[in-house]
Amino acid sequence: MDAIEEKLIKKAQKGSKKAFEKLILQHEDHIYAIALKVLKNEADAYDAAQEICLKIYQKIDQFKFESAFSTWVHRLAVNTAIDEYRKLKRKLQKEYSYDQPITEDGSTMKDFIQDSGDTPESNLVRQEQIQMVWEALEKLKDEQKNIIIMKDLQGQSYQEISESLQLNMGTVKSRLARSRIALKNVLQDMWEQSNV
Amino acid sequence: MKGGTDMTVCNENIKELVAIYSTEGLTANEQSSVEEHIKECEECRYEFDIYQSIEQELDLSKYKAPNSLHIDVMKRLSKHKNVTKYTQYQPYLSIAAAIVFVVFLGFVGLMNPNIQKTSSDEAVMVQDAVTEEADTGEANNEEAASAESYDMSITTFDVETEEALEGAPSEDAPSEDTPSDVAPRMAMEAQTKEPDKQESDHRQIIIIGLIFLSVFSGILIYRRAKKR
Repeated sequence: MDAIEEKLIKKAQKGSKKAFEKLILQHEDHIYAIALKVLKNEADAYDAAQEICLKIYQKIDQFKFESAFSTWVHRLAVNTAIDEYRKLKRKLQKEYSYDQPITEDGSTMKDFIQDSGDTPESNLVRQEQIQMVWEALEKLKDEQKNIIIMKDLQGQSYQEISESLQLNMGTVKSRLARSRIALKNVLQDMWEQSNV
Repeated sequence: MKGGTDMTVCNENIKELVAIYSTEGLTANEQSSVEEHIKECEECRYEFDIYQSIEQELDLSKYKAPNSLHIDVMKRLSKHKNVTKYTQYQPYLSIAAAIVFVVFLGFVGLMNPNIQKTSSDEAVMVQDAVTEEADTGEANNEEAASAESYDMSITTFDVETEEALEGAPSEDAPSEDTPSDVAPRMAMEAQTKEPDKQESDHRQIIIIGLIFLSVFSGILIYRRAKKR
């Protein structure tokens, strides 16, 4: 965390909307992308992204500088997006039968839940299953989650991660590998429990 | 990820390499070893597919938020009141301050000797009258003067009464009491000490009650503030 970001966070915690605006601007793409990944629908993702930003503003005084701000934002974004997804799914399940068209283009509840997205049907892992990765990620230890966020979500290089965590490259690679294995194991456990 | 391991055997080392195959972290040799291995090992091939799907799902680089998102967020934010630590806890702080103030007043009121003196003075006036009636025929001017001096303080009264009842010599009180003097005085002491004791008991109950109230309120406020 650089000094400018820390200053902005502290000002936002005291209620400065200007400081919050500067801060949130750097994370809006990430927030929207997560909402879109989880909700699979631009309009829902747009609404959810707004909710996430407001939630960050309301809860920013709970940020204790114990992790990177981006990690904290990411966690809040994923949890809020998953909550929104569940709410939407429950609402649709209540209102429509599984095969009844729910949109003008004739999409059904079945399509909404099992939206294959850009994953080919032949792929061993269906979209419905892989979507659980967001929940699985939240079940990892902070150390494992952080390195996955840095590498896979933020696209940082090994060199950047190495400098940021003050670890040598070999340790970073090894930690990333073990974290990915842990993520895969959590995901497989979740699949078994939900029988998808 | 140690070098020199047999890549045809499915072990922890090859599984770690499979997990990070698509990142730029493997050497050319490690990459070809992984490729060879997943052709042979069905389990690792399945895991390789899972990692590919996870990566695809977690890759957010191609998404960009619409410009209107920031505008809409700031519009909604402008309707929000500033949330600071002080404003968040303001109601609780006010309640806490009010309770502390009430408890403080209670302590000051109950512990103030002037307030005790006033009530004790009234008791002394009544006791004087009782004493005078009881001692008819054996009027003692010095004792009457002594009774007047009770107005000065409750301490003086207590000392004199005790000394008189014990028959101890005193400058103001008569040095020798007849049995007819002692009986009414004992009755008088019983009458004065009983209300004093009751008053003291009530005071203690009120103080304990106030302490409990303030501690209980403090705990409630702390828990509510922590929840927020």
